[in-house]
Amino acid sequence: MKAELFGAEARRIEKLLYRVAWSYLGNDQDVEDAVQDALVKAWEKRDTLRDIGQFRPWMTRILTNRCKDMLRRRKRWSFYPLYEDTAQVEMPETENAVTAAMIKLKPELRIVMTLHYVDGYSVSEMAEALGIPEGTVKTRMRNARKQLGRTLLIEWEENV
Amino acid sequence: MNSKEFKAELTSVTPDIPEHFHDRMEMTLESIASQEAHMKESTKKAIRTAGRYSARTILMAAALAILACAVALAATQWHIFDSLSFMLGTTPPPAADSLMQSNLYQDTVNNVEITVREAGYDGRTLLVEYSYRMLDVDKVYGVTAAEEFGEKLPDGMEPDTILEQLSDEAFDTLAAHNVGWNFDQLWINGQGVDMPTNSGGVYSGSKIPGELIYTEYWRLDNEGIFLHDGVNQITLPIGASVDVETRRSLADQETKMYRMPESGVVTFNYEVKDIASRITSLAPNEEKVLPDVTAKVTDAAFTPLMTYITLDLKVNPDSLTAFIAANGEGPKNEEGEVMWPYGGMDVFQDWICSLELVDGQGNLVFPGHAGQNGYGNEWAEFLYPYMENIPAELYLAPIEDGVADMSQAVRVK
Repeated sequence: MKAELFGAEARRIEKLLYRVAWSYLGNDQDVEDAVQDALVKAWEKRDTLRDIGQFRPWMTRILTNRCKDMLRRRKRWSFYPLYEDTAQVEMPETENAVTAAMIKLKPELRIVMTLHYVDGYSVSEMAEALGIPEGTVKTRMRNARKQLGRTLLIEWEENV
Repeated sequence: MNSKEFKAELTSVTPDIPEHFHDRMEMTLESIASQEAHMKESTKKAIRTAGRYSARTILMAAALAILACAVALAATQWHIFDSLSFMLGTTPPPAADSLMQSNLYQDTVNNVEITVREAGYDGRTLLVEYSYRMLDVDKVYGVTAAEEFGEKLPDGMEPDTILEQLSDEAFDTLAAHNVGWNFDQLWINGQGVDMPTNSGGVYSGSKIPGELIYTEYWRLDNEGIFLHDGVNQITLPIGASVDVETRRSLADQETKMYRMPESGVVTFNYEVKDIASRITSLAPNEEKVLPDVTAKVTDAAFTPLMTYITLDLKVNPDSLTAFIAANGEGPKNEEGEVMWPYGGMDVFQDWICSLELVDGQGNLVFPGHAGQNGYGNEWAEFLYPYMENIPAELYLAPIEDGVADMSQAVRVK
């Protein structure tokens, strides 16, 4: 894959990359570092991408792994009772109820809520973008809404 | 609230993509494209390594990508070579990739993120680059060439190049976080090592708020310390400050050094792979007798990163006597007391400072590079970058007006 094509594909998903990294890391500087690292790594491993049509999930997976690496290294972990098998990033405090509730979500749940409600992704679009089954997207959305619904007393009008 | 209200609220608190994120991504992609234009197998590694760091690296890489590939490689692959180019030369040698290691440590203490970014060892000198990022500081400490020089930029320097300098304010701010060098020593594999002579470092900021970058080198060989093959544990006292009582309790009166504290240190591993076989050592010991001094090179070591030359010096006693007769026994204080006696170095220091490395025909091996790296009454050291092709003959010769005086040259090889 030539750099020109790589760049064009990467630019097409700039917003997605930002959203994914932000969901994990929560601050612009780390987000920039993570995306830069992931782009460089992806370029180095470009021969592993057999089908250019899979660029989006392939790139997203590389970025997700990079974000998780950074979280592990930073050792900013705290455990929440609801998800004892998973660590959460420790994010800054906020007075906004929605923000506070979103912060408490696992990153995987946070990203699907953001992509759906802010960027308008459908379930199938999220599945394709994140490289996960549609069923997994639905499960994550259901769990996120359940948790947010308890915290924010939301009456969800649509079903996933 | 209902779904629509949640959507509106979430949209309002979710940040838009910031301009600087877009810029950073563009720079990264442009750098990749530029590097592809000059792509060699070794350059691929440069991109991977360049991508680990801040916009500083990418800016440098993008600016230099249009120049010769070797120069772009130097700017993007290992920061240590950028920072210590005055010592290591401007182009990393071929062995750099096999000797340099990266991302060796990271932790946060007192709201300061400490990262050991790079380390290298050539059999004599340990080189380490580490950074402090004060997470509660918004100020950018990197000084750009444009800020320093205005419109009068040095030739070839880009306006946004970060310079190797750091303000007192930057150091003071770090100190206020109670983080920094605790002891004037380090530990190698648990053993305390006094700060070696001829060690040093350069310091700079970066474009990242609160970040300071320290690039340091320690002449372990001057303390008789050599890293062994395999994994070595390097401990630097660069973490949280250690209180006075604790420091006192760690002092070893016998060795005159400190035992390793439990906190306040950064420990990382560095793996050495058969460095000894990659060093060429010579001991010419050919005396050159001159009017004021007899000099001989006792050690010339050519490592994969640098060239080390040691001179043994004996002042002519008559010359020293004449010098004292003309200048007194030594420099004096206000009370007229001799602070220290004059010695050989006072007699021959001008000659020492004029010496540079030349080949058998008197041609400078490293034009523009000043190799003198310290001297005393009985010794002098010269340090040069890596030498790929060692000439058949080498000398240290005094240079005047660009011309070597081979009648006073001391044989190196």
